[in-house]
Amino acid sequence: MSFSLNPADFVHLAPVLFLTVWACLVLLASAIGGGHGRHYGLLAILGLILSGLGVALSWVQHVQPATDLFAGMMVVDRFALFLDMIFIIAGILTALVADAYLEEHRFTEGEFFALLLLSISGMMMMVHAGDLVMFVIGLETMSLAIYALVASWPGQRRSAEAGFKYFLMGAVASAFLLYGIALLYGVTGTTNLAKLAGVINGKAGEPLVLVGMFMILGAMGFKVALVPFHMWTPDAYEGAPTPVTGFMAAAVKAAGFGALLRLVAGLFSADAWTFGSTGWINIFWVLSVLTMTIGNISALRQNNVKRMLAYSSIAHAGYLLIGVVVVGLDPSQMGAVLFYVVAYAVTTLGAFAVVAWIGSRDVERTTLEDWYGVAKHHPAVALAMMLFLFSLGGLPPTAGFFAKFYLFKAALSFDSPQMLTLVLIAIANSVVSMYYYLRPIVAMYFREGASAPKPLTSFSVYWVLGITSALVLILGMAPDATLAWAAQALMGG
Amino acid sequence: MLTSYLPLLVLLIVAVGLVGVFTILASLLGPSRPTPEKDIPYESGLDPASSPKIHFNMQFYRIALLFLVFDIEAAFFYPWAVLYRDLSCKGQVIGGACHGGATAFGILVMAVFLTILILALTYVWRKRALEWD
Amino acid sequence: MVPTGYVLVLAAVLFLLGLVGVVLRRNVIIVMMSVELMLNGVNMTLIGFARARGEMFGQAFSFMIIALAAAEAAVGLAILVAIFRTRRTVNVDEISLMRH
Repeated sequence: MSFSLNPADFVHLAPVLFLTVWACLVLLASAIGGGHGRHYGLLAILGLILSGLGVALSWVQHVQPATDLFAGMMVVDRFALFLDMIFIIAGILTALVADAYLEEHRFTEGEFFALLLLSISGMMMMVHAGDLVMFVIGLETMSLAIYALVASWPGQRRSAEAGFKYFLMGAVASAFLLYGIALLYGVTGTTNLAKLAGVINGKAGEPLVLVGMFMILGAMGFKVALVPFHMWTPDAYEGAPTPVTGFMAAAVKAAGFGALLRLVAGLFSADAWTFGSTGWINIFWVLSVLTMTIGNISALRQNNVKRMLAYSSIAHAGYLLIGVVVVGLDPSQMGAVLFYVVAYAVTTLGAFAVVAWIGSRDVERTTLEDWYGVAKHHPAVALAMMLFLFSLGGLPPTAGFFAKFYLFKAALSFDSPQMLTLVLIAIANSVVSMYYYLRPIVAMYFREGASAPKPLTSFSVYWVLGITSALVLILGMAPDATLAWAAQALMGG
Repeated sequence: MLTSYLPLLVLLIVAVGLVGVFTILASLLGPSRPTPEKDIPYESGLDPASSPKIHFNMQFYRIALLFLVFDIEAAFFYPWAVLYRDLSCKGQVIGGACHGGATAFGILVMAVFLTILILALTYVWRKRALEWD
Repeated sequence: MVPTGYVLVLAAVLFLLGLVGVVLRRNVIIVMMSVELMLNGVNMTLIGFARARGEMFGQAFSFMIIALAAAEAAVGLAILVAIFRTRRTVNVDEISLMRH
């Protein structure tokens, strides 16, 4: 028996490997160098840019997908590369916000940025996974880093407790995921997604397969906060430092959906993916309706903007599930779903950047009353926040409008009553959601504030606000280029 | 075969059921007059000298945490050691001897693994987590 | 040889015991131990299947899970230490500052 690794495999995965090594270096540098956190933020951004260049190069040079890296453990296709790019951009924006935020709230450790990089490398592993083993390793790398990031606010009781709650539920979810994988392995003898796709249809009715798939679905539902498994979301989002919250809402959700889409292609395969029979699509349909409706209804009565955005992110997970249903029926519709992910990620990052911006030391200013009169003192930021909220609600001329438009169009391209119902429910939900998206706008523009907020003054936050609002407008007025890229990002393409 | 366990099952149900019924009855019918004296833990009739909850020194948790990680890493040495002969042989291993030339693959794999561990150890050391105070 | 079914049932019982522990116990250290128990149930399932199939893959996977469980416990303990610093409790119920 001989063992060997193909050096070319390492080249294919250079961006992921580089980022992992870079994260370790940032960690070491922070331990040895000590000192000021700002340098580590810049170091992390440098690493992300280099890794992003690698991803871009890989995208440009991409001739054909590599599906057998490390004996089928990892896959490099345009789908994964596209998501990599989302994670990296989200990481850069988060690092920029965190730079100012950590400075203001006085915890400027380099570990924060090292954990950020590690979680991104975990996400990349997760979407590049061609095997459930690799998928679990990526998921755990991401999750463990995120648990620590949520709890990373020293001396803040809420942060540590939110981190622990999230950790505990996440650990149970991982246990379920692993048990599900173990059962699938027992029945099929493989954990390779491509091989599973071939085997699983013949065994779809076996109880062990069913139980295993339910467990995997439940665990994934936890990670992307679908409704029966969403209880942790508001607490974790509220307790975490705000840049981390934005990162979770944008990147972690994108990673979770990327993995879910891969699982749908590999595991919950297309043959069993029809309405009417006992297909998995019915379950996803119900989850989608539940998630968007309950997310929106819970958001209606929130007075805390951070918590409201947490519920809004649950609702958006519901809309994204429509995309999962669509891709399950027809994988070539991937473009609409990925466009939605991009639009949602950019908008959410911007919205949470505003939430991070408005707080000053020891005062987070997250309730609606704290937002009274912001427009008078800071008209530009208020305008940006209005853009983000419009985009989340799906109003033109913002990214969110076209995201919803293309997603619903893709869903309606199937001539089925279930799809029509789903889209109608989603549209009704969007209308309802406008109510709570308008509340911060009313607070900012039409209310008199008792005291003027003392927001972050660091330049990096304004950079982020500028970039995200520009992206929201560009995606909302000229979506064609991004849509064309997204349409190229097919699994195995 | 399974039917021979039926009496056991019946016994189990009766036992659990009886206990449940009596507990519920007791809580429904019995008077409940808690006093602070009744709530202290029973220590052979003596007043408890101190709180039974001992606060472990925080350092123990930190040491436990470090031990946990480095202890589990050792678990990876065993499969590596068992397979070392195969890992460092290009061709076939027959009767414990390698035919077809040696390769550094086995050593390299462990070197990468150990480098990561040593990096982690350096971090722990620089953060003064190895000192008791 | 012990039939595989027995191994699987034992593993399932371990997993369920762990789950019950997570749900019912209040002490966070014990809750974390229960999560470990669940993961060990998974390990035993994998090893049982690997033995039934006469291959090593399941056992190799269980090594990964052991490492993963250790990493998880380490992060959990670290967060616990952070909670300890702000308040002195190990009860899950008391870790619920945020209510709707």
